[in-house]
Amino acid sequence: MVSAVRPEPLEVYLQTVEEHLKSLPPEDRSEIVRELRSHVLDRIKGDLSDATVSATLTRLGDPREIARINLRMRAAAVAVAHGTPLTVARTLTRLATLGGRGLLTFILSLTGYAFAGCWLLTALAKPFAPDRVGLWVLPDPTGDLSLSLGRHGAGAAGHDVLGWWIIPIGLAVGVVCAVLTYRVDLRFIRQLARPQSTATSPSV
Amino acid sequence: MNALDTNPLEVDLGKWEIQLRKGSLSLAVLASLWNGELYGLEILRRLEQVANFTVAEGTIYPLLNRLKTAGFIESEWVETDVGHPRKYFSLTVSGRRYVIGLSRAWHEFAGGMNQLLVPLEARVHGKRRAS
Repeated sequence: MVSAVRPEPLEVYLQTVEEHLKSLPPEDRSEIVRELRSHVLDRIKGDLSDATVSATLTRLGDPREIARINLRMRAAAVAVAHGTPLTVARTLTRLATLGGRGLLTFILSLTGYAFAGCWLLTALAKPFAPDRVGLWVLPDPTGDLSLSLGRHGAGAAGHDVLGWWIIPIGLAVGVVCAVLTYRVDLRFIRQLARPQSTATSPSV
Repeated sequence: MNALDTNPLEVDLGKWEIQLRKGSLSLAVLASLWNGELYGLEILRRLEQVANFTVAEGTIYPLLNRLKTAGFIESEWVETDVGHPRKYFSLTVSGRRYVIGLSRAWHEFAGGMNQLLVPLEARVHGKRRAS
C-alpha cells in the first residue's frame, strides 16, 4: 500500500468545492470530495508536479461550478426519485438559490400554489361565511372579477356570481391548479437532474 | 472564432448533436457498465474510446449519483495498490433491466431512422470523402 498523496493545488481545489457544498449533509460533502480526489489522482498517474495537477484541475472545471452542478443534480435526483410534493417543494427552494431558472420556476410555482390555495380556501370557507365568501363581481364599469375571502359581500357593494357553486368549482380549480403546478415543478426538476453541460460534442 | 460561431446552420447542427448526446448519456453510461464494474475515469475512457462520446469530467459523478439514487447502479470504494482508493460502479438488477429496455428502444428507433436515411447515404459519405 502506497501512502496517500495530497498535492497542494488539489487540496486547495477540493477545499473550495467543499466550501460551496455547505448546504449538503457532511457525509455527502466528503463523498463528493473523495470522488474528485480519486479522479484527479487517477488522471495524473503519479505525476505530482504542480503543472500536471493544475492542468488536470483546469480540465475538471471551476470548483464553484463543480459544487453548483453537484448541488443541483443531487437535489434534483432526490426529488425525482421520491417525487412527493414536499420533496419537490424543498428541492425547488434549494434550486432557487442556484440560478436564474431555478428562481424563476420557484416564483412561478409559488404563484401557482397561491392561486390554487385561494380557490381551495374560498371553497372551504364558504359554509362558514356564506355571505362574505365567494367570487365577487365588483361594481366596476370594466367588469373586473375579484376573488374574495374576506369582507366583501353582505353590506358591501358587489355580487357573488357563483353562490354555493363556489364549493365544487373552487375545489376543482384549486386541485387542478395545484396538480398542474406540481407537474410543472417536477418536469423542471427532471430537466435539471439531467446533466446540463455534461454531454459534449466529440470535438470539445 | 471558428466556423461554428459564424454559420447558423452549423450552430444548429452542433446544438442538435449535443441534445442527441445528452439524451443518450444515461444509456451510454449504463451500457459501459454492462460487462462489469468500472471506476469513474474508466467509464469516461470507455465512452470516449468506444463511442467517441466526450463527457465533461466534473459532471460524470453527479450523473452517476443520479443513476445510483434511481437504483440503477451501486458503488463501492475499493483500496488499490496505486496509492488511493477508487470508487467502482456496477449495475444493479434493476439497472440491468433498465439498460436492456433503453437499448431495445434505441435499436428500434435507430433501425427506423437508418431506413429513413438510406437515400441520403451516398450524399453523406460523398461529402465526408470530399472533406
